[in-house]
Amino acid sequence: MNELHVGIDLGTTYSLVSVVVDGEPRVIKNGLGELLTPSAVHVTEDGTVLVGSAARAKATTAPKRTALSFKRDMGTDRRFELGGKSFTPEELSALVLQALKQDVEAELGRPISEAVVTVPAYFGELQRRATRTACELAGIPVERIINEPTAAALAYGLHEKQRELCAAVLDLGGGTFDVTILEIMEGVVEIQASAGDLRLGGDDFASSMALRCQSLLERDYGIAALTDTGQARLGEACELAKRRLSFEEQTRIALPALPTASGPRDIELSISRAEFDEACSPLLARMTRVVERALRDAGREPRQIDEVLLVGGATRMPCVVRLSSQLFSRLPLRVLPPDEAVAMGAAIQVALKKGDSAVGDLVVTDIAPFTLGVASGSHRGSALVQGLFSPIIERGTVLPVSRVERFATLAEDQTRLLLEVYQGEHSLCAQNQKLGQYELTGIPAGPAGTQEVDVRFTYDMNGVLDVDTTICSTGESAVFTIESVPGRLSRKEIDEARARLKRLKFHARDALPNVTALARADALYVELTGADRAVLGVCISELRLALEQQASSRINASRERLLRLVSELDRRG
Amino acid sequence: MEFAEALLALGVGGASEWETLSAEGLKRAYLKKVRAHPPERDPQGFQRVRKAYELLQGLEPVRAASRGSAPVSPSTAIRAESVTPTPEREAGDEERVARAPALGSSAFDRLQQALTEQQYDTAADALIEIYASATLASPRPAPHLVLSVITKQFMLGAQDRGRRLFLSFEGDMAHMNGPLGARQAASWKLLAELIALSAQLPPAVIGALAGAIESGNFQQANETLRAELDERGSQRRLNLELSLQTSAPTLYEAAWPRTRGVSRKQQRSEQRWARGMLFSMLVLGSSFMYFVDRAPSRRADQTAAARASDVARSSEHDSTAHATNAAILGALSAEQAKDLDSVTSKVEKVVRFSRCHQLRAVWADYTGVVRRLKGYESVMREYEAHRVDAGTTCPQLASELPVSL
Repeated sequence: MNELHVGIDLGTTYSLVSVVVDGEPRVIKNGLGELLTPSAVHVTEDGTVLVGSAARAKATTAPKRTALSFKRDMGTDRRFELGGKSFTPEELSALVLQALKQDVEAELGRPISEAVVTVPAYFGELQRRATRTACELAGIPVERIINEPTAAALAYGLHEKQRELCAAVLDLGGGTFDVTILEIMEGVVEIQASAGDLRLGGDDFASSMALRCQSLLERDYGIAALTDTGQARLGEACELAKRRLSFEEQTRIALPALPTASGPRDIELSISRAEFDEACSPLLARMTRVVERALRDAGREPRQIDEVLLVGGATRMPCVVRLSSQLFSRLPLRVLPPDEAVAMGAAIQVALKKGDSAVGDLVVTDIAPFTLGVASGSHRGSALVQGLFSPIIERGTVLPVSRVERFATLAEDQTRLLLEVYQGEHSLCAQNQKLGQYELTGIPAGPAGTQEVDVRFTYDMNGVLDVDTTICSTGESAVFTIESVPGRLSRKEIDEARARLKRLKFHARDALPNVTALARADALYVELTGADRAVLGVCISELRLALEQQASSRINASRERLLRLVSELDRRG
Repeated sequence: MEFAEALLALGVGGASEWETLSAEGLKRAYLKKVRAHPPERDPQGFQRVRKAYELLQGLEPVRAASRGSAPVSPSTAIRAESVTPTPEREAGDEERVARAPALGSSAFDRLQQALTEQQYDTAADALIEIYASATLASPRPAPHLVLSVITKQFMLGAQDRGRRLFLSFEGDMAHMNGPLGARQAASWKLLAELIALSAQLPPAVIGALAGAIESGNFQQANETLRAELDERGSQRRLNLELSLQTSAPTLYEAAWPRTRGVSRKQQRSEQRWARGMLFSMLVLGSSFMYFVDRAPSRRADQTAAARASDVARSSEHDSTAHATNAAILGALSAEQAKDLDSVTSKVEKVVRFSRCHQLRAVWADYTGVVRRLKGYESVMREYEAHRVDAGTTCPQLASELPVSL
C-alpha cells in the first residue's frame, strides 16, 4: 500500500499530523523532533519565511514580523502585514500545512494521497471553505473536513467499548471552545448538538492573566504602559506561568529589563492559582453558557451524560476540570494527551473512510451547525417587508440533507430574482452572515406571485453547500455559483496565490534546527542577566561562527550544546 | 414518503409491529438501517432512512394514544416533579435563605428586608446588584429564592426586570454550590421558555403562566390561554400554537389545552370555516378563470361562478378577508359536494393555475386548518378504538366524530 492517508489538526496555536499505523493512530514528529508544530509564521529581515517553533520564538523578539492565532481570522478578508509582505489567513495556514506535509512526507517517504482536516464544529461555511482553500494552496488533497469533537470521540475509542452511551466533548484549544453532545448506540455515533465560542480559548486565559499582571505593574511599580515588545514578552511569560499553575499553587513571573514606555525595568511578580481562577471567572461563565446551549439543543439534562471528554491543551487547567465536574457532576475523561487527541481522531476517520480493516467499521452521523436559508420579502398588508431570513435547512438537521422550498415573485412582470444565501439564527438577514448571491434570470413575465422558483439546498457531510434553482413554469434549472465572497477564491486566484507562495524564500528544511535553536536562544538571552547571559552569549556566537564557516561537524556539536544549555536555563527560570 | 414505505425503509414488519415498538425500539431500528446505509458511502440511502425515521417519530403521539398511555418524555417527568412540591425540601430551602444573608453585605440586607416586606421589585434590584458584584468566593443567594423573585416579576408585569435578573442568575450558575434541585431546575427551564415567549403573548397570559410556574397549578393559566385563543382567528391561533410548541415545549405540554379538550364547538366552527373556505376558493378560482383567462372548469357551478365574479374581480384590489367572506356566502348557497377529497384536489389545481395571489394566501390558511382537523380526527379515532376495545363505548364522543370534513 503506497498511499498515505493522514489526519491533520490545524489548530490556533499548534498543528499536528497523524497517521494510522497497524490500526493505531500515531502523531508524526516534525523536523525538530516535536509532536506539536506551532501555528506561527515569521518573515525575517532578509525576507525569508520561517514556520513553526522558530517563528514562535521570534514572536517575542520581533512581534511585528510574526503572525500567530490566524486561524481565528479564517474566512475573513483580514490581511497580515509581515515585513513588507501581505498574507491572507488562508495563505498563512497554507504555509503551516506545507510544513506539516514536508515533515510527514520526509518521515514516511511517500506523498500524501489523502487527508482529513479538522475544524471546530462551530466553524461556518465560510471558514470551512477557507480551510479547504488553505489545503489546496499547500497542495494537500483534502478528502474531508470533520469536526474536532467528533475526532476526539473517535480518538477515545468511545465507539469500541461494547456499551451505549451519551458523551459530551469539551474542546478548549488555543483560540476556540467547542461543546459537542453525541450519542453512541448500535455502533452509530450520532452527533446531537454542537455549540461553540469562536473567540474563547487558552490564549484568553493567558491574556486575562496578562491584564491582571498589568494592573499589578501599575500598582506595585507605577508602570502605565509597555512597548509592543514588552507586551509580547509579558504575554509569553504569562502563557508559561499559566502552565506552571496547572501543577503549582503559586508561581513567580520574572521579567528582567522589561521594555516599558519609560525605559527598561526589572520586574518580579507572584500570582497564586486562586488569583488566576478569579481573573478567569468571566471566561468560565462564558464556557458555562456554551455548555448549556449544547445541552439544550440536544434536549438533555447534565445527568443524562455518561462520559465527559476534555480535549485541547487548555483543558489541563485545574479550573476547567473543576468547571466540567461541577456542570456534569462527574469526573471527565482525559487520559490521552489533550493536544493530540483531535489529530489522532482525524487519522482514524481517514482510515475509516478508506475501509482500513484494522479500524472496525463505524458510522458517524453529523448535523448542520447553523441554519441556512435565503433572503425573502413578504407583503404585510400594503407594505412590502424585505430582508427576511427564510430558513431552508435548520440548525441541527442531520446530514447529508437536501431540502427544497418554493418562492414566488414579488412584483409585476418580475423576470430576475436575486437569490442571497445566508447562514445564522436571526430572523433578519442583516444580522446573519452572507454566504453568497446569485442572480436568476429568464423568469417568464407575469403578475406578482405567479412565477415560482424551487430553491434546493444540498448540504453534504463535508459541510459544503450546493444550491440548485428550478423555475417551475419553464422547468429551467441552474446550479449556484457563489460570487464576491471574502475568502472564496476562483481557480485562477488559487493558482496565483500558490505561485506567490512558491516564490517565497524558505529556509532550507535541513537548516531549520539551527535557525530554531538560535531563535530560541535569542529569546532567552533577552530574559537573562549576569553570568548565565554571558555563557549563553558565547554558545550563540559559537554556533553562528560554525554556520558561517559551514563546518558541518562543528555545527551539530555546537547546536546540541546550545540546546542543552537553553533547556537547562529554561528549567531554572 | 408514505407510512407503509417508511415502515419498509426501517425494516419494521408492519403497522401492528410498529404499534408495539417503543420509542427506543424505533430508534434502534433506525440506527441498524443507518449502519446498512452509512451517510459516508450511501448518502441517498441514508437520506431515505432518515426521512422514514422522522416520519415515524412524528407519529409517536398518535401511537402513544393508541396504546392508551401518554408518552413519558423527560420534560413531562420534570413537570410532574414541579407540580408536586415536597414539604421537606421547602423547609430545607428556608434554612439556606436564612443562612445566606447572615454573611452580611448591604445588598443582602436590602434583599432580606425587601423579602420580609414583600417588595419584590426592590428584592430583584438587590439580587441584580449581588450578581453584578459577585466574585468567585462571595456567597450566593439560594436559587429557589431567586427563581421565585423572577417569577414574581413576571406575575407583576415587570417583564424587563425579570428578564434581566434571569440573565444574571443564568450567567452566575457556574458558581453555585452544586446543581439545582429538581423543582428548581424545572422552574428555571419553564422561566427560560416563558422569557422566550414573552414578546408574543399579552401580559395577562404571561402573568397567568408565571403564576402557574410559582404555584405548580396550571388550571388557571390554561383557562386564560383558552380565552386568549378564542379571541384570535384561526390563522393567528395556529401561529400561537406553533410558537408555543417550538420555543416553549415544556410550557406547551403543561398549559396548552389538550387536543381532546378543545371544545367541540370550536372543532365544529373550524370545520364550518374550512368547508366554507373550500367552496369559496372553488368559486373564486373558477370565476376568475372564466372572466380573466379561459373557460371555467366543467365541474364548477356556473351560477355560483357568476355570483362570485364581482367579488373575484374586486379581490384583486380589496382586502382578502372581505372578498373571502362575500365568497363564502355565495358558495354556501351553491352546491353540496359529495366527494370532498376530489373537490379539494380540483381546487388545488385551480389555485395553482389561476393568477390570483390572494387565492394562494387563502389556500395556505385552508391547508393549515385542514391539517389540524385531520389531527383531531386521527386522535379521536384512536381514542374511540381504544374505548371500543375496553368494552366501554362512548356514544357521545362517537357521535361527535367528523365523518368527513
